[in-house]
Amino acid sequence: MNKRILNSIILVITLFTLAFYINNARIQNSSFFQINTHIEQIMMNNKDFNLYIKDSFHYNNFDIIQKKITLSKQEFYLLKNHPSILNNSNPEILSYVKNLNILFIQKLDIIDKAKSYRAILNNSYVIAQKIKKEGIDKNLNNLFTTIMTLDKNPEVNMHKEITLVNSLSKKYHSKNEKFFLNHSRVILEYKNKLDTINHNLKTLAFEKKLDNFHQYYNSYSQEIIQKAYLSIIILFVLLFLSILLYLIYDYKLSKSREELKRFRKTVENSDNIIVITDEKVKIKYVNGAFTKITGYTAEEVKGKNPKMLSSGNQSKEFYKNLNQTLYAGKKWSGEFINMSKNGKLSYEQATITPVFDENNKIIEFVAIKLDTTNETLAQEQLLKKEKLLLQQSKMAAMGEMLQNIAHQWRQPLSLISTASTGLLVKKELDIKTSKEEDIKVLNTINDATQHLSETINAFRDFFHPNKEKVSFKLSDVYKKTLNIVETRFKNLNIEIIEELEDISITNLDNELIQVIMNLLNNARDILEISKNNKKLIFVKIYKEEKHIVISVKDNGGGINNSIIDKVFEPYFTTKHKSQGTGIGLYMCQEIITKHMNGTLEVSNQTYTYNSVQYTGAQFKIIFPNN
Amino acid sequence: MNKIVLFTFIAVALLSKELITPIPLNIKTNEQKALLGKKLFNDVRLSKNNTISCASCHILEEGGDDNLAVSIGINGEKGTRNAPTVLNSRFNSNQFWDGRAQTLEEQASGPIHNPVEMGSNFKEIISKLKKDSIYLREFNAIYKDGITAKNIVNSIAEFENTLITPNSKFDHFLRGNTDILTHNEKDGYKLFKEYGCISCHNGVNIGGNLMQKLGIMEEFNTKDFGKFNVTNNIEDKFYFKVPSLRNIQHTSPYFHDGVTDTLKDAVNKMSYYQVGYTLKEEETDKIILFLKTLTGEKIFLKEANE
Repeated sequence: MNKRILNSIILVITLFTLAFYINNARIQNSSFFQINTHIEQIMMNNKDFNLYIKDSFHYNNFDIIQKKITLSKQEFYLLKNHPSILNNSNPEILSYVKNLNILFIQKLDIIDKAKSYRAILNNSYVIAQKIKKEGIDKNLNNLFTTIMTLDKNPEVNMHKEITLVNSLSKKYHSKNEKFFLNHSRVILEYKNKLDTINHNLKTLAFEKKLDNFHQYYNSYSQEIIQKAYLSIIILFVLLFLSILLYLIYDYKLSKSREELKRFRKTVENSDNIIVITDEKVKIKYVNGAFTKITGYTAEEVKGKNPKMLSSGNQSKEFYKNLNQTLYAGKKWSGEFINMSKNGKLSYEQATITPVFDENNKIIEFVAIKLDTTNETLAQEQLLKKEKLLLQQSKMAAMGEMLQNIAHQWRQPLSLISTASTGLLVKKELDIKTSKEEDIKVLNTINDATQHLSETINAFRDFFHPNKEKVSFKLSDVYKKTLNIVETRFKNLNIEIIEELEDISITNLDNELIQVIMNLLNNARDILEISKNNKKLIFVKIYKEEKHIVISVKDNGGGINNSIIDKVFEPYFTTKHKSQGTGIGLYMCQEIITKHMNGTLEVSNQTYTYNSVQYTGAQFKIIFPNN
Repeated sequence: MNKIVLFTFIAVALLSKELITPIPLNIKTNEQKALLGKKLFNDVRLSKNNTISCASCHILEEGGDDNLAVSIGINGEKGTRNAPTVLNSRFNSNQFWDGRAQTLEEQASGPIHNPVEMGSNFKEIISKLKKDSIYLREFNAIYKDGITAKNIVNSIAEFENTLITPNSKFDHFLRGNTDILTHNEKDGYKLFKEYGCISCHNGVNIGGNLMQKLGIMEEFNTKDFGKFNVTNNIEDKFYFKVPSLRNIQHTSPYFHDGVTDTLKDAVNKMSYYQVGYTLKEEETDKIILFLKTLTGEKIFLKEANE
C-alpha cells in the first residue's frame, strides 16, 4: 500500500515537473521570440539609419527619422531590460548587449550629427545652385563643378579646396560671389565632416556587431530550445515508463490481492483451526473453524495467549519443548489436548510455524490444527471393542477347552469309577482280592488321576498365556495342541496325516497353540458334517527358502469362493449360532499378524491322496525364516 | 537588388511626406493623470521655499513661457537661459536648449533640481506632498506605488501632453484650405522654404526635432556653448535645439539667451547667421506674416473654462 502511494506521488511529481518544463520552455520560447523581434526591429531601423546617412541631399522632415530613432530606442530599451537578458546566466550575452548599448548611443549621436550636417549641406547646395543661376563670375565655375560633384570624386582634397575658397573670398567683393563662396566653404567643411562621421560609422561597425549578436543569440536560443525539448522528451519517456510501471504494479497488486483474498477465504472457511499470533504469542487472528470448535469468538481471544485453551492434561515439559522448538525458528508438530469454552476436551493435531521478517526476526506464529477428537475417540472405541473381542474369543476357546477336557476326562474318570467301584464291591462282598490285584487297580486309578492332572496343566497354561517370546519346536506345540483336542477327533474317526519337520522358532508358543487349535477345530467341524467316507486332516510343518510354514488342510470340500475373502472378518461365520461366534479366524489373524509377526493365508486345494481325489480348505501360518 | 528596392521605397516615403505637418486634432491622454499633473504643475510646493511652480515660468495663458530674457527662480535668482514654451513640447524630440533631455519626464526633474530655478529635490517634495491627503488619495487612485518621483514627473508630463495648440491658420492651409492664407503669407512661406529655413524648421512643431549649430555662416555672439556643456565634445560647440516656431509671436524674447525681443530681429539674425544672407525688409515682413499664421488655439484653456 505504501509503495502504491509512493508510486502515485512520483507520478504526480513527474507530471508537475513535466508541466513546469513545458511551461518554462513555452515562456523561454516566447522570450526568445520577443528578443529576436527586438533585435530584428533594431536591425531594420539601423538599415534605415544607414540609408539615411548615405542618402543624397534633399529637404527632410526630421520627425520621420526622429520617430524611427524613438522606436529604435524603445526596442533597445526593451531588449536591454528583458528579463531573459537581465537574468541570463550566459555572460557573453550580457557583454554583447552592454557593448551594443554603447555602440547604439554612439550611433544615435552620429545620426544626430548627420541630421545637422545634411541640413546645412542641403541648404548650401540649394542656395549655391540658386546663386549660380542668378549668375556668378566664370572663374568660379570650376569651383561650382567641384562642389557639385563632391559625391562622385572622393579624391578631392578638402583642405586644399577650402584654402582655395578662402583665398578667392579675398578677391571677390560683390554680393553674389561672396555669398556663393561662403556657401562653397560651408559645403566643403561640412562634406568633410560628413565623410568623417561616415568613416566613424564604418569603424563603429554597429551593424556587423548587431548581426553577430543576432546570429549568436539565435544559435544560443536554438541550443536552449533543443535542450528543453530533449529534457521534455526524456521526461515524457520517464512519465510513460512510470505510468507503465504503475499499471504493471497495479495489475500485479490486484492479482496478488485476488490471490490473497482467495487464500484468506480458504483460511477462513478451512475446517482446520488456524491461529496466528504475534512474536509475543498474543493471538492476532483466528478463523471460523476455531470459533466453531473451541466456542471462543475472535474478539474474545484476540491479544490472549493460546495457552488459555489448555486442558491441563499435558505436562510442563510438553510446552517447554514446544516453545524451545518454535523460538529456535523450527516448525513444531504435535497433538494438543485442549478444552473448549463449554469444558469439552478436544484433540488437535497441530503444526506451528514461525514466520520471519526480512531481518530474520520472528514476527508471528501460524498454527494450523486439525480437530482429531472424533478420530481419537473412535480409535479408543475400536481398542475397547478389540479387547472385548479378544475376551469373547477367549471365552469361546475356553468353552472349546472345557468340551475337550470333558472328552478327555470322561474315559479316565470312568476308568477310575470302574476300578474304584469294582474294588468297593469286592470289599463290601468281602471277595478276597490279592494284593497284586489291588495294587493293579490302585495303579490304574493313580495313572488316571495323573492323566487328569496333566490335562489340568495344559488347561492352565492356555489361560495364563506367556507374553514373552520363547524358543520352541513347532512340532512340540502342535503335539501339545493335538493332545488337548485329540479325543474329539478320534471319536469322529478323523485321520490326521502328519508330515513334521524339526523346526524351532522364537515366538509366543501359547498363542500359537490357540491358533492351531482353532484351525484344527474348524477342520473338525467341517469334517463332522462331511459326507466323505474318509475324514482326513493333513498337517505339515516345513521350511521354504524364506519362510517357515504350518499348513492345515482338510478334505471337507473347501470354502465357497464367494465368501473366502470374508473368512477373516470379525463376526463372520458359516456355522450355526449355537456353534460359532465368528471371531475365531479374525482373532487368529490378529494374533499371527499383530503379535507374532507372521501371516495367515487361506485357499482351496484339490489334491489326490491314496489315488482318491479330494477338495478342501488349506490354512497356512507363515513366519519369516531368519 | 533588395537594397535598391528598399532604398527607393524609403526615399519615396521620405519625399512624399510633407515637410511640415499639422498638429493632430485628437490626442489620447489619460485625463486623470493630466488633472493631477496640472495640479502639480501649478503647485509651489515643488520648489524649495514654496514660492515657485512650473507655471511661474510657463504661463499657459501667454505663449507657454514667461516673456523674460532669462527666468527668475527662488530667492529672485536669475537663470542662464530663456525659458522655452511648454506648448506643443510633446512634439519635440529634444528638451532643453542643449537637448540634454529627450522626454518630458526627463525634462520635468531638471528645473526642480536646478538650484537657481526651484532648488528642491524629490525627497523634499514627496514628504511635502504626502502631508496632503488629497494628493495621497489621487496618487493612490492612479498609481499602485502612490507618490514617487517617477509618478510625479509622469503625471506632469501627461499634463504637458495635453498642452497643444492645433487649428492654426497654417494648419488649415496644410489640411487643404489654401485660400485661408493671404497672398503675402503664402509668399512668406515660399521665402521660408527658398532660404532653407525649412531645412531645420520642419516636422509637426516646425522645429524641435534637430540639434543645430548656431552660427553656421557667421559666428554668433554668445558665451553659451550649448550642447558642448553637456558632452564636452568639440563638435558639439554652439549646438542648440532648433526651437519650435509654433506660437512664435507670443514667445518673445527669442533665442537661448533671450536678448532678441522682436520677431523681426530674430528672423534677420537667423538669415544672417545661419544662411549668410541679409534679407530685404519686405522679405522679412512676409516671413513674419507667415510665422504669425502658426499661432494655434489653446484648446486646453477652453476645456478648463468649460
